[in-house]
Amino acid sequence: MKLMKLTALAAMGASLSLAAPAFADAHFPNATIKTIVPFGAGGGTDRWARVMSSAAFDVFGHGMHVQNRGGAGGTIGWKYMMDQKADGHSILMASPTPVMAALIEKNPPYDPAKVRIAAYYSVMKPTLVAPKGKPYSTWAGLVEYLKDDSNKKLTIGGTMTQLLGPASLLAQLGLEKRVILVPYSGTGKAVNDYLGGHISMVNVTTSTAVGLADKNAIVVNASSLEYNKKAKAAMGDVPNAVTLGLTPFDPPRFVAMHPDTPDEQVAAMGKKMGELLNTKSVKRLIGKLGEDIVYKDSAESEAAYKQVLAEAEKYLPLFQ
Amino acid sequence: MINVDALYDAIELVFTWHTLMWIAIGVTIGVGVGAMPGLTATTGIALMLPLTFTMDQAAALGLLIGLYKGAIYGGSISAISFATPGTSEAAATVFDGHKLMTRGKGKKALLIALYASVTADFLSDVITILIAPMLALVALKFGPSERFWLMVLAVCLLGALSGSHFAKGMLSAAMGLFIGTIGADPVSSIPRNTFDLWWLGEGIHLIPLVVGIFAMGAMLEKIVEMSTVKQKVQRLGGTVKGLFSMGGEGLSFKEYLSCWKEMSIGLGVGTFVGMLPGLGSTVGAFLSYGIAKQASPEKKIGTGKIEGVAAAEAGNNATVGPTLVPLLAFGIPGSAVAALIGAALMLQGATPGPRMFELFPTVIYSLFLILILGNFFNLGIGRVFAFVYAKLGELPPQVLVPIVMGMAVIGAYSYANNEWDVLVMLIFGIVGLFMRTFRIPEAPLIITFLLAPQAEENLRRGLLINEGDWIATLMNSPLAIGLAIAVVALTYISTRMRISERMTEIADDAEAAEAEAKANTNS
Repeated sequence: MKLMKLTALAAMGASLSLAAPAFADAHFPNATIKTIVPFGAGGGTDRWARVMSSAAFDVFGHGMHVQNRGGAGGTIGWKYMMDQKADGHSILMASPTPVMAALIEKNPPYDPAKVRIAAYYSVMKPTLVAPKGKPYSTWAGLVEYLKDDSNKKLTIGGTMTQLLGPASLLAQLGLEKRVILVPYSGTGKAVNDYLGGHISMVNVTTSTAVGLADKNAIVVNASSLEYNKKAKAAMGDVPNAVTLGLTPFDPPRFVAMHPDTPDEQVAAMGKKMGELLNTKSVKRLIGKLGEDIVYKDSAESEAAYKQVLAEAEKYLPLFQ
Repeated sequence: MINVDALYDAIELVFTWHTLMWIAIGVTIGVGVGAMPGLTATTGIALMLPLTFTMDQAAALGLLIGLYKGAIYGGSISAISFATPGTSEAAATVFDGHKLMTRGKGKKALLIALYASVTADFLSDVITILIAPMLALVALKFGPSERFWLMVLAVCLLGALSGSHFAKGMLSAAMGLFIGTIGADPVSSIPRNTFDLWWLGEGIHLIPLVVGIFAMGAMLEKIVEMSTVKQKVQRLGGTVKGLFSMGGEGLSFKEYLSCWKEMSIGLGVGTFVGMLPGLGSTVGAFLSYGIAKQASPEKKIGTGKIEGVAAAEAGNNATVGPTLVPLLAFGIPGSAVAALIGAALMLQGATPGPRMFELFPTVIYSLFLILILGNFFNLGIGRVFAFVYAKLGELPPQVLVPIVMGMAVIGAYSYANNEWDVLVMLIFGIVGLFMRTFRIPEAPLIITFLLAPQAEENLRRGLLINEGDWIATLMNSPLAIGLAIAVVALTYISTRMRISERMTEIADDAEAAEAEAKANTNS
């Protein structure tokens, strides 16, 4: 009798333990999500995290606890994410900046290729802006201008991530040596120097370009994505990399997870992120910030991330 | 041209109990955040931003602007009370403020800090409101070459902060210069001087450096004093009871007026520095303090004078309004705080940009009114905090030291939730103790740490733009040439002054020695 009871208990235990992963997945996430922002408070990624966390409880049934872990070009935050348990409850909201910081670093604390990408939540559209009435105020004009060796080299300012956009397009045409890429730590400083006439052109995000469109020419969008209606109305028809027949540079904003996170949890987190981005309040707030939601699930975003990584490795030497 | 209808609308929006309440809440949180080492105005505003999603425009702006103003002033409270600058911009306040506190004049120091902050903040707000677009155009004239010369000029102006021992001042400056080069190269982002430590990739953060040198250094010194000198243990009960009494030497109106020159310097410097992107209120405070010290050597700023506190505090608070100038004029945020306020405006449906005055006049006028009103709230709420902290600073060392050390650790960590910052802070605590022991001034270290990387960044960027042509880089415009001439002139004048001071000292010493020798012969 005793043996029968023990056998029954063991069988129950075994069946429970087998059922456990399925149960956990159905209720995933089952705790607060530690949301690591690898930059200081106040930046673009931080704003996305705070807007998304404001609607998290409705989607996840739990909150998103935003933690700013800035420093070392985003590597501190990324490393911190790698030090967390791979239980799916710690996510990193990132941009290509910590990826590039790790690629530049001689002894990086992590390999940016070894990470799980749960979702893309946006893709930036690096946009090149020039003064109106210059020979290089249009893409065709810019290419012609640069092909003529007798013309002075042009200076393009922007953050390193943003600059990779036009740099990659010009490199595909063999014209990268005819421009001087001037990296800035923030878009604000670059725009200030551009408006003061200290650099020839500036490469910025869509929302900044919309603000500049009134008195400046919008030359090219280095990504593969179209602008939204509001941006199109402000900037008119702007060629993008695809319409020009070139390989685009699509710098993403993405949700990363520990490389050992199980596939199901990565996929589940990606799906939930999609639901979160689809909530009315998040859509409204992100729209007001002048940003666009571009959602890709885990499978799509992991494939796209690999391409971004390859592009970054290819074009980063242009800055050195 | 004033849009009268929009102005009336703004008055109706701002002068409601609801909005006024949020300004008061913002200032209260801000002063508390500023007084806590490591927590900055940026952190406070970022944390409060989600709260504004459901608020109306005026209330949201009231909360954020109030917090900003409160935090910039709040940093001075712990700087004066515990020699622990709550924010990096309050570091220059430590020099005179804490000396006043140790002499039992903490209340006086805190009050002049408050009044100088509010005065300069109020006047710089008025300047911002009246000539924001014009200021923004001036700021655009400063490109990499002009900014480089400006940084060099600032370093020259701050020569006064090297103290009486020039060599020690230079040593301190050299230390700051080296520390400033740790981390990613400002142009190509390649790490340098990091000792192969990945966490030094972005360099040393200002907050752990300042908290380490000033707060931890001062506390370690106190521990050494306590262990070497047998101190009479004070009765804690009586001290704590005294915390809430209103005693202590206050500040007379005459004393406040006597600081007009320093407050004017702070106003001018802060307004100018605030509108240039990337410089920030810390540079404003140190620059104002250094200029005030050079302008009035007879006041002996640096030895515990209210004028020193007034110069530093006016210098940092005067940056508050002008920081918003590039945002309002061009939609470019010149600082992290401006970016957050810009985001809050966008979330409220008012995108900052050149057409903001035309498209959203009510929002602009509301913002201006809140900028002005925030100062009055700062004045009232700041006073309450000042009195409590003034008494806390009088706690006996055996209680104060562990509290401040705890605050320093929490502050260094909470700045970026980064444990390495705590290690950096502790290392600089030891460096601070070393500097205090050998009487090496801290100011040149902070100044070169702040300004040298910016000077390098601008010089390198200028060289990049001009394809390595030094002449084209350094003599890029009439403004750059003018600044270069000012640097040469200032260096010449200050060197001559230093030589003549030294000659006078030598002559005085010789006279004294002669007189002593005569006296000895006669006796």
